Amino acid sequence: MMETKLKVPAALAQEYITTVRLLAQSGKGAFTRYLYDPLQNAGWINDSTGQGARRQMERIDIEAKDPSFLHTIAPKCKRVIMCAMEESLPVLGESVIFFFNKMQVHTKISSSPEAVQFIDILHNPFKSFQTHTAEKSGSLFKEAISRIDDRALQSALEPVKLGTSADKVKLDSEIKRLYDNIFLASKYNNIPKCRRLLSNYIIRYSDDEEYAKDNVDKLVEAMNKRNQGFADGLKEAIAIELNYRITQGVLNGDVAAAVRGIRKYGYIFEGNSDTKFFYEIDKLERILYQMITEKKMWDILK
Amino acid sequence: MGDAQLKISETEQGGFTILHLDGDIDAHTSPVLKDAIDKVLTRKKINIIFDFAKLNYISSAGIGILNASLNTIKGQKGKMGIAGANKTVHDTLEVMYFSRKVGIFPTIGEAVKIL
Repeated sequence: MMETKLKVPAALAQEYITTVRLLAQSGKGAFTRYLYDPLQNAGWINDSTGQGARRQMERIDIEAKDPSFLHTIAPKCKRVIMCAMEESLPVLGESVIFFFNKMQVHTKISSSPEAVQFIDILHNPFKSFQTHTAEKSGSLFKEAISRIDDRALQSALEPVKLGTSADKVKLDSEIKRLYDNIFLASKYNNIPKCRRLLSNYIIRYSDDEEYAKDNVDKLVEAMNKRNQGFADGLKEAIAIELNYRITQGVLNGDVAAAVRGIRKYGYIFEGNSDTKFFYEIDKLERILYQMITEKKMWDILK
Repeated sequence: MGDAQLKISETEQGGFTILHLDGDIDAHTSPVLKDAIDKVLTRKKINIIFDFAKLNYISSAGIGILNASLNTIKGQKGKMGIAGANKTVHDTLEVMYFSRKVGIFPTIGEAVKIL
């Protein structure tokens, strides 16, 4: 049993969004078993409000802009989910992700009894699903990689190369845009957006030869001064996103995406064993190198 | 693989600290590598050669640690090189583009001579 939480951490909400997405890709059986059934068993069903879940979500989105409505968002999200349970599995998935997203934006929502209860309900089922996926991902990856075309694997391993001056100009303008967007988001204290912007940028460019690491580090440091724990939250967000991409690649047989994710993870976290998913990803990497050796692909990859 | 092991011993040659690695570097053993490097750097030894002659495997976790060490060593105007890597390890370093950042030599002797 999970220890009782007073607040749902933003990283956990983000991680659970990726879990819901992976569940959706794993099929109706998994989606029902690990999401629908636990919610049904907890009594999150059968609320008749007369409005469809999607329409309610649109309404909540409008209301969320008004601070005086903030305390009403979590109970309403619960009602949306209960409604969606009756509608369809895709709508259920949307409404669950909707609630997790809202938790990341407002403390009043992440610390609400509904949010804490919601996480309590899903903690064990999601953990079971993650364990199940991790256990079979090794064999799925091995199977998928043995089928992959050599050229596809080669392109998956190649980092972004910015050889031309035009590309470098593009990267310069990207970092400027990142500064501007973060400045704007931080002005409104939109920390989740700042984290998302930085996370996307780092994942996209960190293995680039022209990656402006010093500038990015300064930005992260500045954000961390304003919001304690920002840097750790960012690292966690990046690890969650990369693990999602890797697992998604494995589940979909998209080995190129999985390999790209592994390589980016290696570059970004530089062997820090405290990083989330460190051992799971390392296990996949060993399988990858084994396959490359067996397929005698080292020379064509260089 | 939970059984991976890494043993590290240290010698001195031509002004360089040589770290001899025996085994695998993966997520489980990479902290051993980090500790060994930290101990050398703490003693202000900033010229290091990694002897990979008995290294069977290296993952991105290990390359990440080597990369971080390289940055520290460069920052202190030191020198770093890798010697004696077998084909698979050498290939991994190349595919991960680490061979572009650090000199890789066939033997320790050549590394000492050229660095």
